[in-house]
Amino acid sequence: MIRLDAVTMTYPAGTRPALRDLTLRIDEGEFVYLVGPSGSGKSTLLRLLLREERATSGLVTLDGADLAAIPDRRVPLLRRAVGCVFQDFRLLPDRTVAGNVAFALDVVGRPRHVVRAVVPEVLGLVGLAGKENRYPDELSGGEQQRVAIARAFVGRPRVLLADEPTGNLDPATSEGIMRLLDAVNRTGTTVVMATHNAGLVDARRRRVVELADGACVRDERGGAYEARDAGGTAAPPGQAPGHAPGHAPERGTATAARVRTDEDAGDRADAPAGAGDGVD
Amino acid sequence: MRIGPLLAILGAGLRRNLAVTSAVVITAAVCLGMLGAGLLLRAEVHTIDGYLVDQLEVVVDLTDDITPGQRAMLVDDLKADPAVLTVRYEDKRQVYERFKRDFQSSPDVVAGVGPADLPAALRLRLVDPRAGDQIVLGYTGRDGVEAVRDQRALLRPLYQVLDGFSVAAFTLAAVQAAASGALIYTMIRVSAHARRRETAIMRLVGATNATIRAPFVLECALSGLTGGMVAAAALVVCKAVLVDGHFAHQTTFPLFGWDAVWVSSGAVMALGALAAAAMGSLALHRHLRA
Repeated sequence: MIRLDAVTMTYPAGTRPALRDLTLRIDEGEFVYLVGPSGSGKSTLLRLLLREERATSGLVTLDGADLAAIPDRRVPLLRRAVGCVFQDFRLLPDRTVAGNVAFALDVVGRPRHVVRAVVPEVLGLVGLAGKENRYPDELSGGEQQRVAIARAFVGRPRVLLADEPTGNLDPATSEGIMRLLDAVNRTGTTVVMATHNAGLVDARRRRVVELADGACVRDERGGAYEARDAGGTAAPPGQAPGHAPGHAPERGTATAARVRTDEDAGDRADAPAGAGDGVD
Repeated sequence: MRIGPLLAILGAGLRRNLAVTSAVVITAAVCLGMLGAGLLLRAEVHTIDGYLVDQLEVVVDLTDDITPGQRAMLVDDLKADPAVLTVRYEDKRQVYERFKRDFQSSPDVVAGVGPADLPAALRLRLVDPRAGDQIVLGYTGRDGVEAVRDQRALLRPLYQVLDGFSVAAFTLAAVQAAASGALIYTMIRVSAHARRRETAIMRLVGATNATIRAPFVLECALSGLTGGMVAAAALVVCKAVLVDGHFAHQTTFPLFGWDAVWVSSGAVMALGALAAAAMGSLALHRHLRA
């Protein structure tokens, strides 16, 4: 469904590429974690998929369509097929919960009866039934992110991009958001989530794509947040190599060790049973 | 986008920008009022011209020594001229009678002039009475012709005064238009900044550029239209109070009618809305990311 072939992206003012020779394929219905340090190219990848940017070289396709070749006037149609959620929610403070969700349908010209039918349904799906008339500043962070997910999902996109959606949330709330993204994924929507939250990644064991300096250094099904090579160099700072159990991962394969930090363990305490039972 | 949500966004934008929008409306009203006044002055020139033009002729004064053959040739040439509608000959007696009629209120002038003192003349009606210059140029200096006079030229000072007023009005309108344009540009800049989150979300969820820009352009068009309506109201008041209520009693010249007021009012409202929308679109290209 999503293909990147030898994609390199250098921003006009940039001195080094944000993405380097990246090749990646994501099938329909997959749930993919994008991990890697800040500046590794995760957000750039999402921006390419939204056609906010064009690749400097290489090919980015969605359903076979070359995104760089799509004329500007057709880009809105692409974006209706790609929902997006951000760390900072990006809600409109002067609109109610229902108003924020309806906004996404109103501005693409959906008929009023459709908006009236679909918005309550989606708010029920994200667990906000009864809070339709609240304003964003009357909601918790988790609830605001649920509104943002409802807004991204209300147009039934085929792909949902989430850029650190739990970055501003506590572990328990983050787990709730992940369950919601799981539910969205179960409807058949492909989910690509950039995250720094090791606990959430480790709890589910989905496909993990790790970027470093704009290059893909790991593409692992059923992977953990961090890979660890034989020498233990991938272990987090402050943790002695070999502290965590597991064997060295083989980059680009479906077998990899899962490295847990103490912080991970703390997050995992809130995680539900059945972690790791992803779509793969 | 449906009209309901569009109007909701437009209303929110207008409330948020009330101060700047009011400034745009006021400057646009002054600008368009000046423009309307200029248009009405032009209408007045046309009204006067239309009223007098049928009464004005080109007069070819003949020399006393013109031979019948020269006169017949001159008349034939004039009748063959496509610019000339009719040619009528007046001998010295008829010219004197007309002179006495025109100056009947000045008997001292009439007393000092006899029929022999005035030249016989050919009086011409032109197909286009405004094209008298061509006839003057073409027939001055011909054998038997003493002078060619375009009576319409007598009105030139009046036209120059009225034209001067209308040019002054248009100049003031242009200055105000520049101020209005700068204000609209500022309004769009402020508005695009205040609504950057809203427009970013619109873009993300797949709204078209036209949809994203529509509330801004409508806001500008509405400001321009409101300014135009204020200007149109001012023109109507001027016509009713100043022209009909004051000037009409002081002059025998015909004054422009209500049709000119309606045309000018429609023009300033349409121009206000369109020009403001165009200026807004221009500013959006700079301040709103496509």
